[in-house]
Amino acid sequence: MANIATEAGDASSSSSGGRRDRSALILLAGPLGWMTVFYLVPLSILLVHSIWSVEYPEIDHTPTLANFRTFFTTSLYPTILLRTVTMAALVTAGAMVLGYPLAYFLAKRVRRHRELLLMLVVFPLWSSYLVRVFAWKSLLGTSGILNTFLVWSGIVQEPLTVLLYSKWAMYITFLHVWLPFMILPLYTVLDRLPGTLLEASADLGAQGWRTFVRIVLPLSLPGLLAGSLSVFSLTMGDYITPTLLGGPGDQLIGKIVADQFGVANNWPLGATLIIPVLIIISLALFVSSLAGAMERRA
Amino acid sequence: MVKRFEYVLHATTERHADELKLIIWEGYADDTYRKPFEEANQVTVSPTEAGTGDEMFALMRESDGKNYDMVSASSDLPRRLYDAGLLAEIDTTKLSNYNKLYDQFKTPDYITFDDKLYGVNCAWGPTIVLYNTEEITTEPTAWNALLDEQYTGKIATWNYPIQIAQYALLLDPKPANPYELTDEQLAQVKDIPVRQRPLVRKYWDLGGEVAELFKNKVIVIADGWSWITLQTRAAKLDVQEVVPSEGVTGWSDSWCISKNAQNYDLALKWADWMIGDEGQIGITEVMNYSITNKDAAATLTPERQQELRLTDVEAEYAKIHMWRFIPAYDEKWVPLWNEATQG
Repeated sequence: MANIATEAGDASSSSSGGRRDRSALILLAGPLGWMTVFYLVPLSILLVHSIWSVEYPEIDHTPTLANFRTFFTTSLYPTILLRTVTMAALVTAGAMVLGYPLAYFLAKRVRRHRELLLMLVVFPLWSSYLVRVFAWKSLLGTSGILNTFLVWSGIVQEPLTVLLYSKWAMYITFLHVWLPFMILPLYTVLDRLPGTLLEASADLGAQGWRTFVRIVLPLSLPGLLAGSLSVFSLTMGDYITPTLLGGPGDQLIGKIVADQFGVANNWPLGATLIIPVLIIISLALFVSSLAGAMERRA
Repeated sequence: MVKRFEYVLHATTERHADELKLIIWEGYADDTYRKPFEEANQVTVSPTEAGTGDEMFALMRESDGKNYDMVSASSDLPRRLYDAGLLAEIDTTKLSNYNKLYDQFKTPDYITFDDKLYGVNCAWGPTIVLYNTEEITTEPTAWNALLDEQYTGKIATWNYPIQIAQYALLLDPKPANPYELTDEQLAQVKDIPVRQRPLVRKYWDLGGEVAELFKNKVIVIADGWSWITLQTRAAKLDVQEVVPSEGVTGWSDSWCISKNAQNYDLALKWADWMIGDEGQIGITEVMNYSITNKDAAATLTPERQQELRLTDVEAEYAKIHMWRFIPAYDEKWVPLWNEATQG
């Protein structure tokens, strides 16, 4: 009797498993189709431009590797690419240093008003990105609030010109606008971290720092990597901030690419310049997934 | 149901017959001449400001000229638009003010292709250097002033590859035509903006930025054109402008009509208006540009004519190396400029 019941049970579960797989596929078809038509296809069309060239004023469709040669032989492009990667890495590091304590504090130390504080973190995202960049522009200027304070308090004699139209201005602005993207994934992961683990660690004699390094950090790695990926790729592609707040020689690859598709009228070169960026970000994604960013930790 | 949807789609995408869409240099849609035109013709004029001729070209190309009716193209641009098949021929019989233009502006070579006219020339002027008289007491007289180390960190210069021609006028020996430069000359010119880069505080994109930079005391000297001087003065700053003594580049603006313009006739009316007396005098007042209408120029006082280079138009015009179409622009000038200013 029990045998028949289990057999029947097995039969029904395998067929419902099959149905589940089919329904999963049907459900996925929509988003996958959308991704293919509106993301993969346009991206492929874009990338294929890199093997074409411009014969004023039209695009010449005979395949050529000239653009790749141009990329490697013109010092401008590798220089700017390196500049962009460096800036992105530094901004990511800064966001980690600033964002982690804040996320930890919110997740583990705040009991009352947690939602309110969370909202305050997200609040800047409600305003337009451009508004925030312009706000920094006026804050950092020679007659801006920061310089006025520095001169008034006597910390400096003359307003600091290095604060605006410089890499510093870009760095501060990037940090500020992208920080919520680092804090939120970190917070989510840290929030799920059972407090009992930390208590157990303390009971077993681990000091605060050891608990952090051995338990908290590894378990929060998915969130940290997710946040870092966001901040890194956002900075890699940005061109508004360097244009508005950067000085001569501070431009990042995003503007060069945008120029190729706009004023310079050289789509093939623009497409070629995108490829290194895509490769770098794919590498970052790959490394992150190896380190476990894509896994769901209990 | 389908019919309703079609109607809604049609209504949202179709542009009204009473709207004129322009791509302009800042100042060309000032209320002074825009409002009277709008009222007289019961239309709306919607301007889009562009910072460089390259931007204007890009805007026209993107939409195949369908999104805009007209563009205020400087002398380097119309040929590129024509080659890309984006310009409509001008029907001069519909322009009531056409015969009032000085002869040299009727069919100049930068808007005449295959013996047909493709633009309506309305204003011209030189590139100038402007400086804050409170900060700089000895008057700069040359383009060299923008390369002067005593102004380190307080210089702003235009981010536009055609400026290479202005820099080329500093070469020794000076090229006869700063727009026809050999590869060797180009390599020599490149050194100048490279030398200048550590001194520059900001490369500006839109003219309005320059006034802001002066106002916030970020810079004391910059390059630009007369509209910028007036804007900066409007921001209560005492600036003076100076034509570079080494030789000067400049621009001559024409209203070109898009081949796929929605409102060809309305566009012609705007062109006619801008070369008419009111439009031309408006231009002199709002932008301090030299104008192209003989009769309108005659109504100005002799001092004003002198200021605006209208006492002897032919001679004054000939002093300026007007921007012109450069076949190797995209291939050589743009990358060179980017390398010099960004690399």
